[in-house]
Amino acid sequence: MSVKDKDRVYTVEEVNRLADGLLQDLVIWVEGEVSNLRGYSNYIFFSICDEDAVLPCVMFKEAMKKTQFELQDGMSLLVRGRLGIYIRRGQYRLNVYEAQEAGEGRLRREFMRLMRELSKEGLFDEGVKRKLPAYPDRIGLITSLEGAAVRDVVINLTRRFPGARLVIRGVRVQGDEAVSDIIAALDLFNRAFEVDVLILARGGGSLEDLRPFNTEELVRAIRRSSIPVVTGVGHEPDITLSDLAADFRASTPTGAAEAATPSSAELFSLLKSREASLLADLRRRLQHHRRDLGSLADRRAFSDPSLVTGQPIQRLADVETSLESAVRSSLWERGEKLEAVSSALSRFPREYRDLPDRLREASRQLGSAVSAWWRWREMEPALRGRQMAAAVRSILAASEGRFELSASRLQALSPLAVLSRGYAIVTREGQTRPLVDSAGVGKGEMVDVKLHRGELYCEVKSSDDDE
Amino acid sequence: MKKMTFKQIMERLEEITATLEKEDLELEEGLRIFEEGVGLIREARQRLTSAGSRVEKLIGSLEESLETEEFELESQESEDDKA
Repeated sequence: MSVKDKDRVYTVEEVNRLADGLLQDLVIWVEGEVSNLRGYSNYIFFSICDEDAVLPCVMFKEAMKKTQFELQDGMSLLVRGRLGIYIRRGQYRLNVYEAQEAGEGRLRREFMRLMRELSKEGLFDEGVKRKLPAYPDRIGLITSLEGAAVRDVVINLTRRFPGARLVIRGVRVQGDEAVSDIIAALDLFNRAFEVDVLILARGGGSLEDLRPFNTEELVRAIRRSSIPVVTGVGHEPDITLSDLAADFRASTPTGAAEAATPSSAELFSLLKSREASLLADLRRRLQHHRRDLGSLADRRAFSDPSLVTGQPIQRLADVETSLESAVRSSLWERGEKLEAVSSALSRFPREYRDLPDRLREASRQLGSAVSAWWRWREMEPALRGRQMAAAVRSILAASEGRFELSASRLQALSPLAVLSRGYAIVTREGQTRPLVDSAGVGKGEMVDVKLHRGELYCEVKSSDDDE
Repeated sequence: MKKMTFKQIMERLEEITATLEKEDLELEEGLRIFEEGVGLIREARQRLTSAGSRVEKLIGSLEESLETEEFELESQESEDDKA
């Protein structure tokens, strides 16, 4: 219907249809709050309003079926529809084709939907959460370099656990770039800069502000991290999907710093109790040893050493017996030799005759050395085994030495040695007994004269007796 | 020897306590590890009281260009305190 004839009189219906026709191409999006909602079987009426105006709306059954949620008064709504006129009543309205929750409401619904979905996947399960290190050496912090969050974490962390090294990666925490910034930082720490624990922090904000922390991408990046992640986002009661995915969720940046580090105050008391228990252990151990020592000292083994050393002592005694007999027989042999030598010596001049006494004295000293050894054997059971052989050797060496000395003295006193000083031994021809008296040797008798080197065979021309 | 981390110190202390609690230990060995334990406790205390933790910011984005530089706080109010 067109408006050509300015003088024509229209019916009411015609006017309404005319208006409707003028509006029918206007398919638009509009956002506002739901009010005055009335439901009927095939359609619903409601109004969309904001601070300045009200827009009546109708929604038919087909559009209602496509809407996943139930409309409520006060709900923030984003609707698309065609403007038109309700002919019968001449009422201006928006015929709504589709409706979405707008603003916080929409975000909250989206949040719930994603939470259910990711939760079904097991991303928020307690079982997949990694344990935080008790004593982190290096701590990574992902947050905005400006603002209170970074300050809260730095101050609390350095105060609680001064030993740790804190490395901060600055990111945007709000707006469209925040998600990719934060994910890149998580991956960077995992890939190229090893830390023991990661803190993801941000100050509080509206659901819209926290939107990056409620994205599926960030949730997956947190679970992908091989480094445990602690979140400290906003203040209670805000909770984000990142919080649910984190290995530990603190409600504030300060809380995250506290969760990531041990408290030095607690550590001091832990160290103190460790120290006390070390001391107690040592004291107990010393007492234990002292008690053991006491009870051991009372045991027979210590009052009667032979109990412990019985077998070795028996063996030692056996060895000693055979050594003793060896020494005795050796002494006996030497004694016999001495006897033989002294009986031979008895045939020599008087000054040689005390030699046997000297030899006997040497033999006596040898004997006393042996008995000293026997005394020593009684005194030092523990050392005997090691020292005995050496002692016996030295005793034998001493007696050997004395024997050698005697032998060399004998050698010096031998008549044969005297010959070298110009003396001679004279015997009757063919005899060995030296002549000591000229009496009895007649003129013309033959005598042998034994010199130091060589012999003379002589005829006696005269003697004292002849005169 | 490389400097022990705090974690390593605490773990070694744990070990020492456990060892000392065992009965079959030579007295000399007991004394030796007791001394080690006391030394570790002293070291841990020192670290907790030493002023100045390192706070740095990580700059660069590729592995090769990554570096850290000292980070200093600007003075401002904590939001936690205001909340």
